[in-house]
Amino acid sequence: MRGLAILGLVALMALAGCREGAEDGAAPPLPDPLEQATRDCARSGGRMMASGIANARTCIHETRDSGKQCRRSTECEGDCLARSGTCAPARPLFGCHEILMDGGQRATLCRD
Amino acid sequence: MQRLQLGRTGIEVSEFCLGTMTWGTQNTEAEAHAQLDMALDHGVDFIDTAEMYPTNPVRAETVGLTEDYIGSWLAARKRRSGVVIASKISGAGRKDIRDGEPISAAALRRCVEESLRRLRTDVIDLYQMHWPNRGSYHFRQNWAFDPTKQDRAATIAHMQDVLAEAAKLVAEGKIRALGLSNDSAWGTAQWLHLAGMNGWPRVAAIQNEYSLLCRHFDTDLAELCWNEDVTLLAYSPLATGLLTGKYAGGVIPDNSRRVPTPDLGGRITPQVFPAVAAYMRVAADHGLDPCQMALAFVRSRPVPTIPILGASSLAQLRINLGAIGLQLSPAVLADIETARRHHPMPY
Repeated sequence: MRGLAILGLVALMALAGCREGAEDGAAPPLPDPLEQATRDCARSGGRMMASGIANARTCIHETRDSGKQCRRSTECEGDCLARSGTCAPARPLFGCHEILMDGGQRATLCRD
Repeated sequence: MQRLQLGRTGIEVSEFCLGTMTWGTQNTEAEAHAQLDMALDHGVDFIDTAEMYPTNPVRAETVGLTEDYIGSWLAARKRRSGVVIASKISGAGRKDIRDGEPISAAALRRCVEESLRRLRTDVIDLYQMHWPNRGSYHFRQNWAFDPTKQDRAATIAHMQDVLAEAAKLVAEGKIRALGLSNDSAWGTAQWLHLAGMNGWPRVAAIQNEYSLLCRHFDTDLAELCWNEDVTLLAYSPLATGLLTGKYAGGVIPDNSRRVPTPDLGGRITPQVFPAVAAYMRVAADHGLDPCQMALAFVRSRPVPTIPILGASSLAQLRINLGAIGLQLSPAVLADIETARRHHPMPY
């Protein structure tokens, strides 16, 4: 009987401790990193999209110079696409593309 | 030249589109390039092609040849900006194209890559599914259409697969927008619904047959396209040449489409020539060129519609381009309506 009373007291103290901890507020729940990233992305003018082989959510920005003639990637916000010699429509550009690198050399670039 | 937006994409195109399916059969590469130059000179910057082209006939060994011709033109003229290119992946069931392989996520990606290579470009502005895997009522299949063999769950799963892959292709900058062809109101509604639910690319355009002689689009699809902002790209706006009047009296001119396809894909019926004659009469009564009247009629429709002009000679193309800016008067439209009621659905 005495043992039961002690057990009950311990349980009450434990519950009180829990309640006090909650009322103290402690640390607020951590922000969802994806939500945070989505907000940051939207603030920078981008859009979160499932990208690459892993379908990972990535912040994609549409470029303002999409379709502009280019001879090297330094002339574009993103990549300079080799076949058409035009700036890419988005950055980063996932998948495999033939691009003109900074020095104007042609290369196949794959981003997964 | 009026400009229209494709669906809600923000992609602006000329009010007429240049068709290309004769390039590689009825037309040489040089003629194709000359047509492209002429179209551009007249402000037509929207070009439609397909994996399957050229046609009449379609042959396994010429699949992709039309895209090659467009690619060599883009390379020769050193231009890509200022041109809007639409292409298509073929649907299931044609032995001579990918051995009859249906459209799937994997096929979509592979065919986009192959078209990009042939077109010598990095982006296809509008990528369309040429006909649905599940079949369709187009190309005269309406006379015996039976959808009861379709499997709804399988169709929806297929649409989800393809849309998810299309979303990746858009993110990769390889296609800008997705389109349908030879599809129905039900099919289009499903594609739109699934895209909306999942943030996948929305169908921007539907390429179906539409002309004075073929007006299946005018009811359910017109309602859907208006409410959902889907642009109609009207193929065969001259009814494969019937509306030029050149086949009147059963004549089959040299180098015309009736040489390789005498029945014009089921369009030669007992009803068709009286209907053609009625429209010829309307054009003559109002002093209009019949081709230009037929094209301007398609442009006049209330739901945004872009006719796809095809020509097998520069002379034909020049006449057709004369329809740019032509507005039909209420009197012409009234006479067209009367002719239609006397000659409904000639095929």
